[in-house]
Amino acid sequence: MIEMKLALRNLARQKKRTILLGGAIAFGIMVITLVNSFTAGAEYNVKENFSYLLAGHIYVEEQIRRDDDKVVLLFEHPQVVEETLAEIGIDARSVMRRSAYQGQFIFSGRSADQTVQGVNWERENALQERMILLEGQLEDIISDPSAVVLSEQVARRLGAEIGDELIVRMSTVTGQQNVGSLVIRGIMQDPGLLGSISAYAHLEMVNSHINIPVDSYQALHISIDRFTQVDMLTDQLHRALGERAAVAPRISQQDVAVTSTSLVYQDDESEPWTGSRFSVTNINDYLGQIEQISSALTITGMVILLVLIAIIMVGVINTFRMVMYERVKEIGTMRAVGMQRKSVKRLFLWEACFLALFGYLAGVVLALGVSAVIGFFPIPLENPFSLFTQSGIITFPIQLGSLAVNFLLITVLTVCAAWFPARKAARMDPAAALRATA
Amino acid sequence: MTNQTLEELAVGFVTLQDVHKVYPLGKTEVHAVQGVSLDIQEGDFISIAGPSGSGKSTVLNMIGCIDVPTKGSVILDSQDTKTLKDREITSLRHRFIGFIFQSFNLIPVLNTYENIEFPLLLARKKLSQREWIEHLIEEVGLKDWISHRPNELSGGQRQRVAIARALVTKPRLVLADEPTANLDSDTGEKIIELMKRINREQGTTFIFSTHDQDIVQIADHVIRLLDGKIAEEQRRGQ
Ligand SMILES: Nc1ncnc2c1ncn2[C@@H]1O[C@H](COP(=O)(O)OP(=O)(O)O)[C@@H](O)[C@H]1O
Ligand SMILES: [Mg+2]
Repeated sequence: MIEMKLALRNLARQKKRTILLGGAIAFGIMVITLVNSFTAGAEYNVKENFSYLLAGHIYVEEQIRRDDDKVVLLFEHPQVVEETLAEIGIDARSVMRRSAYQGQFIFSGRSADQTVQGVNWERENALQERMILLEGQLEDIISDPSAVVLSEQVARRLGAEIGDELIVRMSTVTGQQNVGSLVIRGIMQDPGLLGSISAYAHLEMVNSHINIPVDSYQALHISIDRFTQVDMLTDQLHRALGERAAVAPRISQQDVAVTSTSLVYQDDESEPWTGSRFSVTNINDYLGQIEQISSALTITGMVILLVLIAIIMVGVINTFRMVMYERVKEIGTMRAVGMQRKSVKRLFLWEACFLALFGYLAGVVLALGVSAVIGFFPIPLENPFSLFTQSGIITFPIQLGSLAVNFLLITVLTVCAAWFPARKAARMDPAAALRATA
Repeated sequence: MTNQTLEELAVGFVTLQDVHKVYPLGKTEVHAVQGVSLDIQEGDFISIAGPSGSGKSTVLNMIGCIDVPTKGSVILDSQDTKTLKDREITSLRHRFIGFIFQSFNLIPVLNTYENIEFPLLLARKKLSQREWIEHLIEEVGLKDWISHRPNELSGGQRQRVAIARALVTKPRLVLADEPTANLDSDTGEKIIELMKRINREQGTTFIFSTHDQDIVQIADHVIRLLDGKIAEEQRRGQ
């Protein structure tokens, strides 16, 4: 107790030094706390943003190999999947049917390439919620079978407005060139993600453009409530589906890429197959690169922290060595009066401990302050960096685990740095200490 | 004489037997104390006198077990201190001895009350004994300075705090190394008188060193050191 009291008072006694050293600790902790929170926030936001773009988190496709060896995406056996989904307890309401193609819009001599997503508007709740319509009404979109919703950027590039009819060129699932027409019923704010975004049309219209039955679809997109369950559910679905039909092996992350905003089939030569099979993928398969980026960020943060800690440790060692010499006489006095060696040592260790604690708390408070301030400056949505944000706002969710680890790390290391000076102080010969002129 | 020594040894309150202290100094050595033997009775009020460099501090430090003799032995409370571990010596100091220093040596971050309380908080049973501390503060005349820190006190006041601190554990022996050297002669005399009064009233043994002749006179028993040897020993009323 007396050691703690003296430790606190001694810290207060050398305010400048305490502030400098505590400030260094605070700065290190601030940086690492920001990096940790930013990384976690960015990872979450990227997934959120992609789940919007890709519509859902788990994707099921039926791949059909035709006689000419071409692979076509088309659900010919939807009931197998529907039964499996019901069996593992996935709510039909969280399942969306989609078809898509790469199309070229043409309007008054200008053109723009777009992925055209065929959606069932009534069932696409997430899409309805997150799509920000700048012009047009949802009812008009739903009621017009040839309606298309374009992003502001694409509409501007085409010089087209609400009500304009566009020519659109695409190829069918069998590779034949086809032409159709769509009417702009909505212009949405460009989320700016990946620069290009899908256009949205009715599922039936898209099906007819790619020449598959109008009531069919190419992919099932499943939304789930908890990201953390994505991989588990995907594997469960893959296994259950595998018991009923042929399935493509689960792909590893490096095999997939997000091209624009649609999933693409990449033929895997290693395992030849014929007929039809299902593929089950999820958002994490496509976001492997994102996780790589975020782990790179975390490692960078750790390296920064370690460098800062190394600097701080040197500072702590030097300071405590200095402190020891400054307080030689005091130590001698305390020893003469009957303070045990281990008490003297504890005195210094508590001082280090409190220093670390104050530095840590200040660092966390600083980090919270800085994150709040950064929150006031949204990233423009055109900026590709906005992919990491929540509607342009960089988020810093508090990471309790990292906070605890950082606290332990900084405290243990500071106490370790003070250990040798503290031991030296404790072992000092009291007579020599009392003779010291300091 | 021999018989008397043996008798006193049996008591063994404070006994020094042919104590030597050699300090290394560069390539040579300083023979700071050369064969000092002493026997001190409980309740004595003793002055160790001698010029600067005569070995007063060294002798006091060895009596107080903050320094160890190169040769010879120091017996405190019937224990040969040579045989004790640092932990035991520290607790012997804590229990048995109070220290008063030339430059007061108060703990700067503690106020008057806390400085006096400090040794009590080092004990295993941490009883703070408020009334006793307040009594001591009154005794040394610092009632109005109870929550001042050392840097707000005069030299005389600081030495009073130090005296109260030395007495707080009710030690049987108080060692004071030139307690008046940093005080003007009036204040110094008052400090010695305060120590003398406590010695009379409570029977606490005091050993103080000084090179001031006027102050030496107050002691009952004077040991004069010269070049690390006892040059003269005087007992009043003998
Ligand atoms: N740590 C030390 N190293 C070397 N010499 C010392 C040391 N301490 C004391 N001395 C020497 O021992 C002698 C006695 O010193 P000291 O006991 O302090 O005398 P006094 O207190 O009477 O002035 C002096 O010559 C002093 O220089
Ligand atoms: Mg001296």
